Amino acid sequence: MLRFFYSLILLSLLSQAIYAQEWLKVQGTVVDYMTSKPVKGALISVKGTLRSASTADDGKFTAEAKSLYAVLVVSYPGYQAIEVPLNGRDQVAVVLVPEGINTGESIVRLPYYTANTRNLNGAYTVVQNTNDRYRDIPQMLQAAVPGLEANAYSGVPGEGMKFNMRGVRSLYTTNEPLLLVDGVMVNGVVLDNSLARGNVYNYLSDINVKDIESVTVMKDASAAGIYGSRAANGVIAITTKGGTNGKTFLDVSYQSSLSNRFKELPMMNSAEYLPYLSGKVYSQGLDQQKIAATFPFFGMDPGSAAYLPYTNNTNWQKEVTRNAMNHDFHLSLRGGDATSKYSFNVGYTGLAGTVKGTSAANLTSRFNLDFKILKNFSAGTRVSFNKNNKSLMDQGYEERVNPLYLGLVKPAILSPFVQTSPGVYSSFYSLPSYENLSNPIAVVNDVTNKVNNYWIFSSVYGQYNFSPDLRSKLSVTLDRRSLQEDRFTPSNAIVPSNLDIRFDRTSEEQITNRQALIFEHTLTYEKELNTTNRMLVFGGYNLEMAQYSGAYGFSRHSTDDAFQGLGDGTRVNARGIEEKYNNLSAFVNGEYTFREKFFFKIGARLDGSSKFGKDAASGIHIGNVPFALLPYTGLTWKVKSEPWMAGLKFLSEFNLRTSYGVTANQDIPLNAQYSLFGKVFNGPYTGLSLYSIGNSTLQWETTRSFNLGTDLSVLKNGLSFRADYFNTRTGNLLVPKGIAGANGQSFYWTNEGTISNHGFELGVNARGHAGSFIWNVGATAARYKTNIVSLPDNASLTDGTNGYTSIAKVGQPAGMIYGYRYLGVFATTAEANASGMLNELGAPYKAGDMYFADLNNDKILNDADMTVIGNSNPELFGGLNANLAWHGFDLNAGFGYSYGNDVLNVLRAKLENGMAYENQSVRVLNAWRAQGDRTDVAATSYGDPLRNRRASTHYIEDGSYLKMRSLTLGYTFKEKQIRYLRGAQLYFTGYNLFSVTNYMGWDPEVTVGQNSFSRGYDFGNVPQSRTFMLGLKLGL
Amino acid sequence: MKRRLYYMLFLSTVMVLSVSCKKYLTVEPEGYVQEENTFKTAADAITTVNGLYAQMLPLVDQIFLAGEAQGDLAVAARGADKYITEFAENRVTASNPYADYTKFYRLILACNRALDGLDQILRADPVNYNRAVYLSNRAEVYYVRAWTYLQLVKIWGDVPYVTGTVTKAEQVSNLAPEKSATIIKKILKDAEDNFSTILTINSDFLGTGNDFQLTIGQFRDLSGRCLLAELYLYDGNYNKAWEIISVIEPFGVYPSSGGDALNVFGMFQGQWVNWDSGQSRRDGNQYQRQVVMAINFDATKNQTNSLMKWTNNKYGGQYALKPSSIAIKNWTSAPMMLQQYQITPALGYYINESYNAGNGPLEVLDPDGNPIIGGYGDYIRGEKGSYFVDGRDTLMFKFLMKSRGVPKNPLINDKYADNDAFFNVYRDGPMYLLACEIMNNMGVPSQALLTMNGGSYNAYVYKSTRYRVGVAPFKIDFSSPEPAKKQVARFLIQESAMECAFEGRRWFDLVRIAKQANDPALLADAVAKKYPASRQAEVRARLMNPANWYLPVYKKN
Repeated sequence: MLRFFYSLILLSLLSQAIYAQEWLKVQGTVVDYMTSKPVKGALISVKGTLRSASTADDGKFTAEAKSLYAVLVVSYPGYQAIEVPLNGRDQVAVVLVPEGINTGESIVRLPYYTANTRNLNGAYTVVQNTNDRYRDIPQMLQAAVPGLEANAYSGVPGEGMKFNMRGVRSLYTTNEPLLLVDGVMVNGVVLDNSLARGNVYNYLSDINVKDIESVTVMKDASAAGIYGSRAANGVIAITTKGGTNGKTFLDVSYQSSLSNRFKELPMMNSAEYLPYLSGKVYSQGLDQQKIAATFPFFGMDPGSAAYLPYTNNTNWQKEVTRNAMNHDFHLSLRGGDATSKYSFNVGYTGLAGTVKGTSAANLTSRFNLDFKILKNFSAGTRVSFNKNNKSLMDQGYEERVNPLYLGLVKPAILSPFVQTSPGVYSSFYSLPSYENLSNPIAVVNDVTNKVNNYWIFSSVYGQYNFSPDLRSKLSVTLDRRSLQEDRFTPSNAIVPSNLDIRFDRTSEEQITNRQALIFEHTLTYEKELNTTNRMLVFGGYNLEMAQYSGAYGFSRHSTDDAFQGLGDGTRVNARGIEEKYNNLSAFVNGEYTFREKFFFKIGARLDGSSKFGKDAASGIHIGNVPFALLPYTGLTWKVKSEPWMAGLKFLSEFNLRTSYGVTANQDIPLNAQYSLFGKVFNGPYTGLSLYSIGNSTLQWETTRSFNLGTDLSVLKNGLSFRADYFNTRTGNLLVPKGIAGANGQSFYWTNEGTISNHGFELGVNARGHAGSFIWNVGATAARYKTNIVSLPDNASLTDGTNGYTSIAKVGQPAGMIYGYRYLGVFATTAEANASGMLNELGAPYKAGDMYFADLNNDKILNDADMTVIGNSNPELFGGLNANLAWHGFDLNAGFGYSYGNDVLNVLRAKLENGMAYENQSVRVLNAWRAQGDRTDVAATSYGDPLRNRRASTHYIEDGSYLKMRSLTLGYTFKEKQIRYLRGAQLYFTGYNLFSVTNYMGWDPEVTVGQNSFSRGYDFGNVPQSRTFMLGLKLGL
Repeated sequence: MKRRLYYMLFLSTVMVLSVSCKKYLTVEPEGYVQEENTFKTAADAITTVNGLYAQMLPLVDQIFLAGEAQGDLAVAARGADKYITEFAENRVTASNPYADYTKFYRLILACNRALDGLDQILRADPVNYNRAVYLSNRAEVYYVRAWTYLQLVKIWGDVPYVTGTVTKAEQVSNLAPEKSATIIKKILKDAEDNFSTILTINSDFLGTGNDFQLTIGQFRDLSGRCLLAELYLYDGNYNKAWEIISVIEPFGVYPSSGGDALNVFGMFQGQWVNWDSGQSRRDGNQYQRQVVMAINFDATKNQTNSLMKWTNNKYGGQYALKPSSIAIKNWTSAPMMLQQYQITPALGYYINESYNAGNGPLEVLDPDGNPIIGGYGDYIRGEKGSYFVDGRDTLMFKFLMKSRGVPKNPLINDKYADNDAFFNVYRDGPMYLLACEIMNNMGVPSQALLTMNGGSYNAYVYKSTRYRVGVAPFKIDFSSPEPAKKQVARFLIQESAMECAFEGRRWFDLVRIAKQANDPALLADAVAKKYPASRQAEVRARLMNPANWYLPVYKKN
């Protein structure tokens, strides 16, 4: 890295000689992008001077600059302003692009400064919210950012996305990029333990996408390094809309959409289920008395009234789902004058879920004000307030009151309601019968899961300009979130957990409060030294005081379904938690630009946190307090700006970028450095017992990252490529270190492990026009390869979720699914005997048993036969984006794809093994029945004693997919068509119109948890459904 | 001058900043106690000792699996997962999480720490924490520690002997195992040294007492004696074991002279008091009377064990373990005696047809807690005492809950529900058998057998485990070539199967008795019988090797 530095110094010395102090003449032409006709009257100003010129009728102009390395700024009303660096030329051809066409170049407001996207030095991707049509933030980013994996948690309204950038860098801490809103970090975006099992609360979904001006994704160390110990996974910086100078804009938009029921999984109907059930009961070996008591319908007269509850063919999947209407209103008022700018946004989104009983209503409001109080002093606020109410249902692995799961497994022969005569329903729910499953209708109607969230995220700032170059800014932010969840499970028609129907009403309540006070003071020096040398230096410090408190209460045995409060139960259990941490950081960043050709950046952040152990080995200690010192540097060389490149006319841009830096991850367990003694009870008396072994050397995870990138544009920016190669190595990996049992604990947290990631990201964009037909087509592709380089004692780590296990093994990627290698189903007893194998319970295998590879050749199936059975990481992923416009019409299509990732289809495992009297997938009709049956569905056996459900290659499926995420047809009304309006747009969007996949479940795009051990499992979450949306935006 | 002032100002700013910076960046965890605050006041001593007893709770599951599932009385039922099956089939692998002894060491290390901590408290607060309390606390800690080591040695054989503490990462170490005999000697020394103090904790044999449930959760005079006697037994020091246990009524004084001749009088001298009233306080709940020490599970504090879950077949029960057919056959085939038997030194045992004095033993209760009079041996110990039949399922049922009764609505799959339970550490029955075993090893098998059989003699009634339930006495066949001692060892194995079934001791009894007799076949034969005929030979061969009697040390993957 030092080499770069020296060569820069050398270059700047050389440049002294080239300084030209006299005014030089620069000539050029300005033409319209669409018509190639000259633009008359365009304003050409020379950046950093007061000189300006304008074009003549033929589009020609002559301007004066002090150097041939100056930058011209060309603007004309109705067109996007453009900066043109001269790069040593005295002749330039400028193309002005009308507003509304994406040129991939714009001014972006970043946390510490404002820059033209073309001058960003590092791996940045800026996505502008050009036309306010997005439904949510993920839609905005999904196809546009190379290397960003954005997976939906589920199709439950308002549940948000999980982001992952550039592979897996951590096993036990977060892999989510840092989220910034208007420069302030938002920590703890995902709170993943909702009382409605299988749901997460993601604060990202509380931000209204229509409030957003742009999102900047920072990927490499040079872009994200300034955020130090939170930047290891990159940064997603959201900038909200600010005010305007002069003109007032009032925009109103309305979107209405219809989400369709998702496709049903093929389950047995009554005619298929009844023979299956009787076979099952027969094979179970129950005596006649028991059969008569449990399955009265087997011996019943089909005409009798008592047979009515069992003579149906109910489509339960249909009963629990619906087509759902959604609405979204948004009002945006923006304006200002020379001294003040404001932006006021209010939005309301009402979403209904396709699973009955789920909905989300989100009220968002935001007021941004920038006010120039004195000549040198300005101040402002960024105030936002959101309220979100949700109704949720359990989803995913949980079975008891999960409507979607119940909808699959509730036998079709049963009726939702008590029938008074054939086909005539009363208003009473049918009660659970022999199958012992809750009535799904009762679940969606009567189980309540209310979530109330309030989020206040507000900053105030003051800025003092000492001089035009030097300014200081102080900001204080309060991030206050309170989430309240109430759950009640009634008893009517719902199977209690303990089979005593009188006493199973349960009430749960959870209240969490999260707050952070963030104080930041910066000093910025931004100076155009002369036309060839430009510099920006800023530094500052930052204090963050964060606090989390949670209270949870559980009560049961309420006397009536009407009493739903926590206090109505006879046994109330409650617990609380209180956590705090403080952070202190200092940072400095210097940028230097030479002739708009070399962009050099160097900086460092010093992070201290109360989470760090006092004996942290790396970093520096100041007054016995450990700090992470995280430096970074970056260099961009705009090769096209070299005079000797001027001849290559077809080449419009050619940049080489490189960066190196150290970032970190401070998401370590809050108290892991301390030895904690917790409360235990000896009878009614409290005692103390060691709860965890503390490690005072605990520290941040350190990521060293190298990035090499290039931007290449040809044919007047008609075709552009953007490619990045990255190589990161994360050391001090936080892992639980397994220790000998004689130490009294099984592990302690330590920083012993290394994980490496390398890969590339590619973005291709083609744009052009033919007449008034404009196209802009882009594609992204990314690939990463994670490799676990070392772990404590080089032992593998296994961890997982809901009884399924993933493994982290040295020499392999993270996120590997662990299980058994499925070999088949024994067709005959002879085959089973020939194997000589004993099953896990120590008994010989029988015909019809599913059998697995005996990897350690001990002829018995046990844990030692487990191996890696799937890789949840894709080989290649990305998106496609096409934008076509013709006159007022435009068509936009967004695709997403993932190739080569494995998914463990747990839902399928549950639907194919027949462990109880539940309804099963039609595949079970092919189950092994008699000697000689060749099938891949094992004989079903009550209770599943051989654990056919276990994780095995039998349920590993290829999760590759290509999805059309959205397709929009829009029409922008012309001025003459609308009289009193500034503008009007009407658009029609279809979401999830189709997908191409071999995956047998609902949706291969699965996400369960946050850490690398929960990737790639499909527990049957609510899938995303096909949605049609009609939108209208009016400008006043 | 000015420069110097600036310099000083700068320096003091840096100092103030770095001090406040340290304060700012130190946030102590809430909701937990930090190590340095654990041993400050007299109250901390109580908390510490309570914390030790509380840490006995999580050990019960493993003690039960090792002690019961490995034995001949339990087999895997249909709900057994692979780990429980491994126990029931005597092939536990190192990947079995129930073979993880971490929690045992957690308790041992806590004891080690407590010993240091009590010293600290004594030094810091000698006024509120006086020496007498200190000594009795310390004695308790030694006994808890000795008990825990004994369990470790019983289950795993040779294990590391840890005397230090581990609360911080840098204290983590990797110790090599020590011979179990050495460990027994070491913990025996601690127990001996503190024996006199343990005896002072509560010598209230017959008093009205305050809280039964609490006192049985603690090491004190009686439980201390039981533990010490057990340690001597494991150590092979039978005379010392007898010295300790014989003091507990009603064992009486074993005559030092006279060889193995049945000295009934010596044994019965003045000892007519029932064990139950002698050993533990009477409680409203009569079921608990025979308990000397138990681990107390209080569901309102979310304390549960898995025993009900493993043994029950409904209410969320897993039905992983059930009685073996041998276990049931033991009870159903045991010869019953409708009338009590009497004993004479000359004739041995005989039945006194007219005897019904004293209305029979009081321990015999029906499910409602009412005394049963008459022939009831199988009833009290067999069906409905130790197991019951539910449809086709046979369920273990013994001491799984605090109140006796068929589990009508135990809500056992609910951790918030009322599944309170006692897990017996010491109870009268096993202690009778312990005394029998001790005497048998002392070389007085006839006297030993008397302790197991019991009987009535003149005005005295010795209600040992067989007598009190009305089962016919065992008799030594002196004409048999098999030595009397060996015969009594066999009787012990038979009797403990009926008296102590499903209490988590069976396997340990088999191991110990087989080792004392130096005859692995005693264990191998007994356990092999629970297997189908086709597998018996293989299992027997494996169990003939005492190295296979101990669990492997757990290793994750």
